[in-house]
Amino acid sequence: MKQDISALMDGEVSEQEMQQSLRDMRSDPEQRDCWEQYHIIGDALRNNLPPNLNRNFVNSVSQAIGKEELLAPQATVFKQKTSNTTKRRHPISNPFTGFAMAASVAMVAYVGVGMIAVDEQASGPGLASAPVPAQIAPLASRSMPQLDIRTVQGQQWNTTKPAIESRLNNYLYSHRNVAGPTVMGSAVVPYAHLVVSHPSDGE
Amino acid sequence: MGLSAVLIINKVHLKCLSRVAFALGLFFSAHTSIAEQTSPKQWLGKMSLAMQQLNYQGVFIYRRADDIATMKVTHIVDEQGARELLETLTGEARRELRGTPATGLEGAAQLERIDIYYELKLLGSDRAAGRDTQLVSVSPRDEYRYGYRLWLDRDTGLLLKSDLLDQKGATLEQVMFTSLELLPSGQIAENFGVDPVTESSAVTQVEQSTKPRWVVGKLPDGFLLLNADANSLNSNFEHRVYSDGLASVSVFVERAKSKGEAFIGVSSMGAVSAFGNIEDGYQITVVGDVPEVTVTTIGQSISLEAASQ
Repeated sequence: MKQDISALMDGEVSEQEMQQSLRDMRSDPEQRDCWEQYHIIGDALRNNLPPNLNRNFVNSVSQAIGKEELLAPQATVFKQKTSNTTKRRHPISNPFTGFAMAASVAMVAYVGVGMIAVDEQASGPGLASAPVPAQIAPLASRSMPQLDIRTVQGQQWNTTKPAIESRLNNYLYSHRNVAGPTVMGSAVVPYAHLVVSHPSDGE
Repeated sequence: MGLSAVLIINKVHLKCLSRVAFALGLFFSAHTSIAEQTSPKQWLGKMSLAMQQLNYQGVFIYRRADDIATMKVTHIVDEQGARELLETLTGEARRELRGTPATGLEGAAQLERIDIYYELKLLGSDRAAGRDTQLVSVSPRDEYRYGYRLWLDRDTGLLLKSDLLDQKGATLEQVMFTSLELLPSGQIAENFGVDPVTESSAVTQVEQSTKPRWVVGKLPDGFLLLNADANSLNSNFEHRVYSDGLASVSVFVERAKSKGEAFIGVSSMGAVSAFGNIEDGYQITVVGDVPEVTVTTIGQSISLEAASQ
Protein backbone atom coordinates (compact mmCIF):
# COMPACT_ATOMS: atom_id res chain seq x y z
CA MET A 1 0.00 0.00 0.00
CA LYS A 2 2.76 2.42 0.94
CA GLN A 3 4.59 1.61 -2.23
CA ASP A 4 1.48 2.43 -4.19
CA ILE A 5 1.14 5.74 -2.47
CA SER A 6 4.79 6.52 -2.90
CA ALA A 7 4.55 5.72 -6.59
CA LEU A 8 1.44 7.82 -6.87
CA MET A 9 3.20 10.78 -5.30
CA ASP A 10 6.04 10.38 -7.73
CA GLY A 11 3.64 10.32 -10.64
CA GLU A 12 4.84 6.89 -11.59
CA VAL A 13 1.49 5.22 -12.03
CA SER A 14 -0.88 4.83 -14.87
CA GLU A 15 -4.14 6.71 -15.04
CA GLN A 16 -5.95 3.55 -14.09
CA GLU A 17 -3.73 2.85 -11.12
CA MET A 18 -4.09 6.42 -9.98
CA GLN A 19 -7.86 6.18 -9.99
CA GLN A 20 -7.70 2.97 -8.04
CA SER A 21 -5.34 4.47 -5.48
CA LEU A 22 -7.56 7.49 -5.03
CA ARG A 23 -10.57 5.24 -4.56
CA ASP A 24 -8.64 3.24 -1.99
CA MET A 25 -7.69 6.35 -0.13
CA ARG A 26 -11.23 7.61 -0.07
CA SER A 27 -12.36 4.46 1.63
CA ASP A 28 -9.36 3.87 3.85
CA PRO A 29 -8.45 6.49 6.47
CA GLU A 30 -5.16 4.76 7.06
CA GLN A 31 -4.14 5.28 3.47
CA ARG A 32 -5.18 8.91 3.65
CA ASP A 33 -3.00 9.40 6.73
CA CYS A 34 -0.15 7.76 4.94
CA TRP A 35 -0.63 10.07 1.99
CA GLU A 36 -0.63 13.07 4.28
CA GLN A 37 2.44 11.94 6.16
CA TYR A 38 4.38 11.34 3.00
CA HIS A 39 3.61 14.82 1.84
CA ILE A 40 4.64 16.44 5.07
CA ILE A 41 7.77 14.37 5.06
CA GLY A 42 8.42 15.53 1.55
CA ASP A 43 8.07 19.08 2.77
CA ALA A 44 10.53 18.34 5.52
CA LEU A 45 13.01 16.98 3.03
CA ARG A 46 12.66 20.11 1.00
CA ASN A 47 13.00 22.13 4.15
CA ASN A 48 9.57 23.48 3.62
CA LEU A 49 7.88 22.70 6.89
CA PRO A 50 5.39 25.15 8.31
CA PRO A 51 6.67 27.16 11.26
CA ASN A 52 4.18 25.67 13.63
CA LEU A 53 4.21 22.01 13.03
CA ASN A 54 1.52 20.07 14.77
CA ARG A 55 3.08 17.96 17.46
CA ASN A 56 0.58 15.23 16.79
CA PHE A 57 2.12 14.88 13.43
CA VAL A 58 5.55 14.36 14.86
CA ASN A 59 4.18 11.76 17.17
CA SER A 60 2.51 10.00 14.32
CA VAL A 61 5.72 10.05 12.37
CA SER A 62 7.53 8.52 15.30
CA GLN A 63 4.94 5.81 15.53
CA ALA A 64 5.13 5.26 11.84
CA ILE A 65 8.85 4.78 12.09
CA GLY A 66 8.29 2.16 14.73
CA LYS A 67 5.84 0.32 12.54
CA GLU A 68 8.12 0.53 9.58
CA GLU A 69 10.79 -1.20 11.51
CA LEU A 70 8.51 -4.16 12.05
CA LEU A 71 7.42 -4.16 8.48
CA ALA A 72 10.86 -3.79 7.07
CA PRO A 73 11.57 -7.40 6.15
CA GLN A 74 8.25 -7.75 4.41
CA ALA A 75 8.76 -4.57 2.55
CA THR A 76 12.12 -5.71 1.39
CA VAL A 77 10.80 -9.02 0.21
CA PHE A 78 7.95 -7.35 -1.52
CA LYS A 79 10.29 -5.02 -3.27
CA GLN A 80 12.43 -7.81 -4.55
CA LYS A 81 9.44 -9.65 -5.81
CA THR A 82 7.93 -6.74 -7.56
CA SER A 83 11.16 -5.60 -9.04
CA ASN A 84 10.89 -8.49 -11.41
CA THR A 85 7.49 -7.52 -12.53
CA THR A 86 7.84 -3.81 -12.70
CA LYS A 87 10.86 -1.69 -13.47
CA ARG A 88 9.47 1.67 -12.71
CA ARG A 89 10.59 1.86 -9.09
CA HIS A 90 14.24 2.55 -8.67
CA PRO A 91 15.67 0.80 -5.60
CA ILE A 92 16.56 4.09 -3.99
CA SER A 93 12.98 5.15 -4.06
CA ASN A 94 11.91 2.16 -2.06
CA PRO A 95 9.25 3.71 0.11
CA PHE A 96 10.75 2.12 3.15
CA THR A 97 14.05 3.82 2.65
CA GLY A 98 12.47 7.02 1.59
CA PHE A 99 10.15 7.12 4.49
CA ALA A 100 12.81 6.47 7.04
CA MET A 101 15.05 9.09 5.60
CA ALA A 102 12.30 11.62 5.36
CA ALA A 103 11.06 10.92 8.82
CA SER A 104 14.47 11.40 10.30
CA VAL A 105 14.82 14.69 8.53
CA ALA A 106 11.46 15.71 9.81
CA MET A 107 12.58 14.90 13.30
CA VAL A 108 15.77 16.82 12.92
CA ALA A 109 14.01 19.77 11.42
CA TYR A 110 11.40 19.70 14.09
CA VAL A 111 13.78 19.58 16.97
CA GLY A 112 15.39 22.71 15.87
CA VAL A 113 18.15 21.74 13.68
CA GLY A 114 20.13 21.80 16.76
CA MET A 115 21.89 18.53 16.81
CA ILE A 116 25.38 19.19 15.80
CA ALA A 117 27.78 16.44 15.02
CA VAL A 118 30.88 17.86 16.59
CA ASP A 119 34.04 17.62 14.59
CA GLU A 120 36.64 15.82 16.63
CA GLN A 121 39.24 18.34 15.57
CA ALA A 122 37.23 21.34 16.41
CA SER A 123 37.46 21.40 20.13
CA GLY A 124 36.20 24.65 21.45
CA PRO A 125 37.51 27.07 23.96
CA GLY A 126 38.13 25.35 27.22
CA LEU A 127 35.71 22.60 26.45
CA ALA A 128 36.82 19.05 26.76
CA SER A 129 33.49 17.74 25.71
CA ALA A 130 33.06 14.35 24.20
CA PRO A 131 31.85 14.77 20.65
CA VAL A 132 28.44 13.38 20.16
CA PRO A 133 27.15 12.70 16.70
CA ALA A 134 23.65 13.73 15.97
CA GLN A 135 21.23 11.19 17.26
CA ILE A 136 18.35 10.57 15.01
CA ALA A 137 15.74 7.95 14.59
CA PRO A 138 17.29 4.50 14.56
CA LEU A 139 16.16 3.81 11.05
CA ALA A 140 17.68 6.99 9.84
CA SER A 141 21.17 5.97 10.79
CA ARG A 142 20.87 3.21 8.27
CA SER A 143 19.43 5.14 5.46
CA MET A 144 20.47 8.73 5.99
CA PRO A 145 23.95 9.72 4.96
CA GLN A 146 25.88 11.94 7.32
CA LEU A 147 26.07 14.49 4.60
CA ASP A 148 22.36 15.02 4.71
CA ILE A 149 22.49 15.62 8.40
CA ARG A 150 25.05 18.28 7.82
CA THR A 151 22.89 19.86 5.23
CA VAL A 152 20.03 20.16 7.59
CA GLN A 153 22.18 21.33 10.42
CA GLY A 154 23.74 23.92 8.22
CA GLN A 155 20.73 26.05 8.86
CA GLN A 156 21.70 26.56 12.39
CA TRP A 157 24.56 28.88 11.84
CA ASN A 158 24.49 30.31 8.41
CA THR A 159 27.85 28.93 7.53
CA THR A 160 28.51 25.92 5.39
CA LYS A 161 31.57 24.67 7.22
CA PRO A 162 30.83 22.10 9.90
CA ALA A 163 34.11 22.82 11.67
CA ILE A 164 33.21 26.47 12.02
CA GLU A 165 29.71 25.58 13.01
CA SER A 166 30.80 23.41 15.87
CA ARG A 167 33.39 25.95 16.84
CA LEU A 168 30.75 28.65 17.03
CA ASN A 169 28.57 26.39 19.10
CA ASN A 170 31.39 25.85 21.51
CA TYR A 171 31.91 29.57 21.76
CA LEU A 172 28.24 30.05 22.36
CA TYR A 173 28.33 27.40 25.02
CA SER A 174 31.19 29.13 26.80
CA HIS A 175 29.39 32.42 26.45
CA ARG A 176 26.37 31.00 28.24
CA ASN A 177 28.46 29.43 30.91
CA VAL A 178 30.32 32.52 31.88
CA ALA A 179 27.93 35.32 31.12
CA GLY A 180 27.01 36.53 34.55
CA PRO A 181 23.68 37.64 35.82
CA THR A 182 22.04 40.36 33.90
CA VAL A 183 18.83 41.92 35.01
CA MET A 184 17.11 39.11 33.26
CA GLY A 185 19.35 36.71 34.93
CA SER A 186 20.28 33.70 32.96
CA ALA A 187 17.27 33.29 30.84
CA VAL A 188 15.60 30.07 30.01
CA VAL A 189 15.91 30.93 26.42
CA PRO A 190 19.66 30.91 26.22
CA TYR A 191 19.67 27.61 27.95
CA ALA A 192 16.92 26.32 25.81
CA HIS A 193 19.07 27.11 22.92
CA LEU A 194 22.05 25.46 24.45
CA VAL A 195 20.32 22.29 25.20
CA VAL A 196 19.10 22.09 21.69
CA SER A 197 22.52 22.68 20.24
CA HIS A 198 24.82 21.65 23.05
CA PRO A 199 28.06 20.48 21.51
CA SER A 200 28.64 17.76 24.03
CA ASP A 201 26.66 15.04 25.65
CA GLY A 202 24.10 16.39 28.04
CA GLU A 203 25.11 14.01 30.78
CA MET B 1 18.90 33.56 21.95
CA GLY B 2 19.31 34.98 24.17
CA LEU B 3 18.21 36.50 26.61
CA SER B 4 15.44 36.76 25.18
CA ALA B 5 13.94 36.30 27.77
CA VAL B 6 14.51 36.35 30.66
CA LEU B 7 14.35 34.18 32.79
CA ILE B 8 15.44 32.12 34.90
CA ILE B 9 18.04 32.89 36.39
CA ASN B 10 20.22 31.71 38.07
CA LYS B 11 23.58 32.35 37.73
CA VAL B 12 23.58 34.38 40.71
CA HIS B 13 25.17 33.39 43.87
CA LEU B 14 23.60 33.99 47.14
CA LYS B 15 25.80 36.84 48.16
CA CYS B 16 24.88 38.76 45.13
CA LEU B 17 21.31 37.73 45.61
CA SER B 18 21.07 39.21 49.00
CA ARG B 19 22.60 42.45 47.84
CA VAL B 20 20.31 42.65 44.92
CA ALA B 21 17.39 41.97 47.14
CA PHE B 22 18.45 44.69 49.48
CA ALA B 23 19.06 47.18 46.73
CA LEU B 24 15.77 46.58 45.08
CA GLY B 25 13.89 46.82 48.28
CA LEU B 26 12.26 43.87 49.77
CA PHE B 27 8.85 45.11 48.92
CA PHE B 28 9.00 43.02 45.82
CA SER B 29 8.03 40.10 47.87
CA ALA B 30 6.63 37.20 45.98
CA HIS B 31 3.05 37.95 46.68
CA THR B 32 2.81 41.66 46.41
CA SER B 33 -0.56 43.02 45.54
CA ILE B 34 0.57 46.43 44.43
CA ALA B 35 0.93 45.39 40.84
CA GLU B 36 -0.99 48.35 39.53
CA GLN B 37 1.48 50.82 40.95
CA THR B 38 4.56 48.95 39.94
CA SER B 39 6.70 50.63 37.30
CA PRO B 40 8.11 48.68 34.37
CA LYS B 41 11.55 48.84 35.92
CA GLN B 42 10.20 47.50 39.15
CA TRP B 43 8.54 44.71 37.25
CA LEU B 44 11.90 43.77 35.78
CA GLY B 45 13.42 43.81 39.24
CA LYS B 46 10.64 41.66 40.54
CA MET B 47 11.11 39.25 37.68
CA SER B 48 14.83 39.08 38.24
CA LEU B 49 14.43 38.30 41.91
CA ALA B 50 11.70 35.78 41.30
CA MET B 51 13.70 33.88 38.77
CA GLN B 52 16.64 33.78 41.11
CA GLN B 53 15.00 33.07 44.41
CA LEU B 54 11.98 30.91 43.76
CA ASN B 55 11.85 27.18 43.36
CA TYR B 56 9.80 26.22 40.39
CA GLN B 57 9.28 23.67 37.69
CA GLY B 58 7.66 24.20 34.35
CA VAL B 59 7.35 23.11 30.77
CA PHE B 60 7.92 25.57 28.01
CA ILE B 61 7.97 25.74 24.26
CA TYR B 62 10.92 27.34 22.59
CA ARG B 63 10.53 28.55 19.03
CA ARG B 64 13.17 29.93 16.74
CA ALA B 65 12.26 30.54 13.14
CA ASP B 66 10.85 27.25 11.94
CA ASP B 67 12.20 25.28 14.84
CA ILE B 68 10.27 24.27 17.88
CA ALA B 69 11.35 22.40 20.96
CA THR B 70 9.63 21.61 24.21
CA MET B 71 11.60 21.60 27.41
CA LYS B 72 11.18 21.19 31.10
CA VAL B 73 12.99 23.41 33.55
CA THR B 74 13.46 22.89 37.26
CA HIS B 75 14.95 25.69 39.31
CA ILE B 76 16.10 25.07 42.83
CA VAL B 77 17.60 27.43 45.37
CA ASP B 78 19.08 26.20 48.61
CA GLU B 79 22.11 26.83 50.76
CA GLN B 80 24.30 25.65 47.91
CA GLY B 81 23.05 28.34 45.62
CA ALA B 82 20.77 28.30 42.63
CA ARG B 83 20.71 25.40 40.25
CA GLU B 84 18.68 24.74 37.22
CA LEU B 85 17.97 21.57 35.34
CA LEU B 86 16.83 21.75 31.77
CA GLU B 87 15.56 18.70 29.92
CA THR B 88 14.39 18.34 26.38
CA LEU B 89 10.99 16.75 25.92
CA THR B 90 11.18 16.64 22.17
CA GLY B 91 13.87 15.40 19.88
CA GLU B 92 17.14 14.17 21.19
CA ALA B 93 17.07 13.56 24.92
CA ARG B 94 19.31 16.03 26.68
CA ARG B 95 19.75 17.20 30.22
CA GLU B 96 21.64 20.22 31.29
CA LEU B 97 22.35 21.07 34.89
CA ARG B 98 23.52 24.57 35.60
CA GLY B 99 25.19 25.92 38.66
CA THR B 100 25.78 29.40 39.87
CA PRO B 101 28.93 30.81 38.36
CA ALA B 102 30.62 33.73 40.00
CA THR B 103 29.25 37.07 38.98
CA GLY B 104 30.49 40.48 38.09
CA LEU B 105 28.17 43.41 38.15
CA GLU B 106 25.24 43.21 40.43
CA GLY B 107 21.78 42.96 39.06
CA ALA B 108 20.53 46.00 40.89
CA ALA B 109 23.19 48.21 39.40
CA GLN B 110 22.36 46.91 35.97
CA LEU B 111 18.71 47.48 36.51
CA GLU B 112 19.38 51.11 37.36
CA ARG B 113 21.00 51.69 33.99
CA ILE B 114 18.58 49.75 31.93
CA ASP B 115 16.23 52.50 30.87
CA ILE B 116 19.12 54.48 29.48
CA TYR B 117 19.37 51.95 26.69
CA TYR B 118 15.85 50.59 26.57
CA GLU B 119 12.44 52.16 26.69
CA LEU B 120 10.27 50.32 29.19
CA LYS B 121 6.49 50.25 29.03
CA LEU B 122 3.62 48.42 30.64
CA LEU B 123 1.39 46.99 27.95
CA GLY B 124 -1.51 45.66 29.95
CA SER B 125 -2.68 42.26 31.01
CA ASP B 126 -2.76 38.88 29.41
CA ARG B 127 -2.69 35.26 30.40
CA ALA B 128 0.04 32.68 30.07
CA ALA B 129 0.33 29.17 31.45
CA GLY B 130 -3.12 29.69 32.90
CA ARG B 131 -2.01 32.60 35.04
CA ASP B 132 -2.63 36.32 34.92
CA THR B 133 0.33 38.23 33.61
CA GLN B 134 1.59 41.78 33.24
CA LEU B 135 2.88 42.49 29.77
CA VAL B 136 6.06 44.58 29.69
CA SER B 137 7.63 46.01 26.56
CA VAL B 138 11.38 46.56 26.43
CA SER B 139 12.42 48.48 23.31
CA PRO B 140 16.02 49.28 22.45
CA ARG B 141 16.89 52.95 22.01
CA ASP B 142 19.60 52.21 19.45
CA GLU B 143 20.55 49.59 16.89
CA TYR B 144 22.90 47.65 19.12
CA ARG B 145 20.37 45.52 20.95
CA TYR B 146 17.16 43.61 20.52
CA GLY B 147 13.79 44.26 22.10
CA TYR B 148 11.66 42.06 24.32
CA ARG B 149 8.04 41.52 25.16
CA LEU B 150 7.69 39.92 28.55
CA TRP B 151 4.70 38.27 30.16
CA LEU B 152 5.28 38.33 33.92
CA ASP B 153 3.22 36.44 36.42
CA ARG B 154 1.29 38.99 38.43
CA ASP B 155 1.73 37.13 41.67
CA THR B 156 5.31 36.00 41.54
CA GLY B 157 6.96 38.01 38.78
CA LEU B 158 8.12 34.85 37.04
CA LEU B 159 8.52 35.14 33.32
CA LEU B 160 5.88 33.00 31.66
CA LYS B 161 6.27 34.05 28.08
CA SER B 162 8.68 36.17 26.09
CA ASP B 163 9.28 37.38 22.58
CA LEU B 164 12.65 38.49 21.35
CA LEU B 165 12.17 41.16 18.72
CA ASP B 166 14.43 42.53 16.05
CA GLN B 167 14.62 46.21 15.16
CA LYS B 168 11.59 45.96 12.94
CA GLY B 169 9.53 44.34 15.64
CA ALA B 170 9.59 40.90 14.06
CA THR B 171 9.80 38.02 16.48
CA LEU B 172 13.12 36.21 16.38
CA GLU B 173 12.55 33.80 19.19
CA GLN B 174 9.80 32.91 21.59
CA VAL B 175 9.53 31.11 24.85
CA MET B 176 6.20 30.19 26.31
CA PHE B 177 5.51 28.21 29.43
CA THR B 178 2.56 25.91 29.11
CA SER B 179 2.69 25.05 32.79
CA LEU B 180 4.61 26.32 35.75
CA GLU B 181 4.38 25.46 39.39
CA LEU B 182 6.19 26.67 42.44
CA LEU B 183 8.00 24.01 44.40
CA PRO B 184 8.07 24.00 48.18
CA SER B 185 11.53 24.96 49.31
CA GLY B 186 13.44 21.99 50.62
CA GLN B 187 11.99 19.69 48.01
CA ILE B 188 15.07 18.83 46.08
CA ALA B 189 14.74 16.64 43.09
CA GLU B 190 17.01 13.63 42.88
CA ASN B 191 18.44 15.03 39.73
CA PHE B 192 20.13 17.71 41.69
CA GLY B 193 22.50 15.48 43.56
CA VAL B 194 25.19 16.05 40.99
CA ASP B 195 27.61 18.91 41.17
CA PRO B 196 26.77 21.51 38.64
CA VAL B 197 28.89 21.09 35.58
CA THR B 198 29.71 24.73 35.44
CA GLU B 199 31.23 24.90 38.85
CA SER B 200 34.68 24.23 37.55
CA SER B 201 34.68 27.28 35.37
CA ALA B 202 36.69 29.54 37.59
CA VAL B 203 36.32 33.18 36.83
CA THR B 204 39.19 35.45 37.54
CA GLN B 205 40.42 38.83 36.55
CA VAL B 206 44.00 37.65 36.44
CA GLU B 207 45.52 37.86 33.04
CA GLN B 208 48.10 35.20 32.36
CA SER B 209 51.30 36.26 30.74
CA THR B 210 50.84 33.60 28.11
CA LYS B 211 47.54 35.05 27.09
CA PRO B 212 47.19 37.43 24.24
CA ARG B 213 46.94 41.02 25.35
CA TRP B 214 44.20 42.84 23.59
CA VAL B 215 41.88 45.78 23.94
CA VAL B 216 38.41 46.50 22.68
CA GLY B 217 38.46 49.90 21.00
CA LYS B 218 34.74 50.47 20.65
CA LEU B 219 31.95 49.14 22.79
CA PRO B 220 28.37 50.22 22.09
CA ASP B 221 27.01 52.41 24.88
CA GLY B 222 26.01 50.56 27.97
CA PHE B 223 28.08 47.43 27.48
CA LEU B 224 30.38 46.95 30.45
CA LEU B 225 32.86 44.24 31.25
CA LEU B 226 30.99 41.65 33.24
CA ASN B 227 33.82 39.27 33.84
CA ALA B 228 36.87 37.77 32.27
CA ASP B 229 37.31 34.06 32.11
CA ALA B 230 40.95 33.09 32.19
CA ASN B 231 40.64 29.38 32.67
CA SER B 232 42.35 26.74 30.62
CA LEU B 233 45.72 28.10 31.55
CA ASN B 234 47.79 26.68 28.76
CA SER B 235 45.48 27.27 25.92
CA ASN B 236 46.36 30.83 25.07
CA PHE B 237 42.71 31.46 25.27
CA GLU B 238 40.83 34.32 26.80
CA HIS B 239 37.16 35.03 27.18
CA ARG B 240 35.56 38.28 28.30
CA VAL B 241 31.87 39.03 28.70
CA TYR B 242 30.22 42.41 28.25
CA SER B 243 26.62 43.23 29.09
CA ASP B 244 24.22 46.13 29.09
CA GLY B 245 22.06 44.44 31.71
CA LEU B 246 19.83 42.59 29.30
CA ALA B 247 21.95 41.51 26.39
CA SER B 248 25.44 40.09 26.71
CA VAL B 249 28.34 39.64 24.34
CA SER B 250 31.36 37.38 24.66
CA VAL B 251 34.75 38.08 23.13
CA PHE B 252 37.09 35.14 22.63
CA VAL B 253 40.72 35.47 21.65
CA GLU B 254 42.82 32.38 21.11
CA ARG B 255 45.58 31.11 18.90
CA ALA B 256 44.27 30.49 15.43
CA LYS B 257 44.00 26.87 14.41
CA SER B 258 44.18 25.38 10.98
CA LYS B 259 43.00 27.39 8.02
CA GLY B 260 39.95 25.26 7.58
CA GLU B 261 38.74 26.25 11.00
CA ALA B 262 39.33 29.94 10.68
CA PHE B 263 36.14 31.90 11.18
CA ILE B 264 36.23 35.20 9.38
CA GLY B 265 33.16 37.28 8.79
CA VAL B 266 29.69 37.20 10.23
CA SER B 267 27.27 34.42 11.02
CA SER B 268 24.00 34.24 12.87
CA MET B 269 21.53 31.79 14.32
CA GLY B 270 18.19 33.05 15.46
CA ALA B 271 18.99 36.05 17.62
CA VAL B 272 22.60 35.05 18.16
CA SER B 273 25.18 36.84 16.06
CA ALA B 274 28.85 36.04 15.66
CA PHE B 275 31.78 37.93 14.19
CA GLY B 276 35.16 36.39 13.48
CA ASN B 277 38.54 37.64 12.39
CA ILE B 278 42.16 36.50 12.39
CA GLU B 279 44.79 38.89 13.57
CA ASP B 280 48.47 38.15 14.14
CA GLY B 281 47.79 34.46 14.37
CA TYR B 282 44.91 34.84 16.80
CA GLN B 283 41.31 33.96 16.19
CA ILE B 284 39.05 36.71 17.44
CA THR B 285 35.42 35.75 17.85
CA VAL B 286 32.57 37.84 19.19
CA VAL B 287 29.32 36.07 20.06
CA GLY B 288 26.16 37.43 21.62
CA ASP B 289 22.41 37.76 21.67
CA VAL B 290 22.61 41.02 19.84
CA PRO B 291 22.24 42.33 16.31
CA GLU B 292 25.00 41.74 13.83
CA VAL B 293 26.12 45.35 13.98
CA THR B 294 27.01 44.96 17.64
CA VAL B 295 29.33 42.00 17.28
CA THR B 296 30.83 43.53 14.16
CA THR B 297 31.46 46.87 15.84
CA ILE B 298 33.12 45.23 18.80
CA GLY B 299 35.06 42.70 16.77
CA GLN B 300 36.48 45.19 14.33
CA SER B 301 37.68 47.43 17.11
CA ILE B 302 39.75 44.78 18.85
CA SER B 303 43.48 45.24 18.61
CA LEU B 304 46.15 42.91 19.90
CA GLU B 305 49.13 44.16 21.81
CA ALA B 306 52.49 42.45 21.80
CA ALA B 307 52.52 39.60 24.24
CA SER B 308 54.49 40.38 27.33
CA GLN B 309 56.40 37.17 26.96
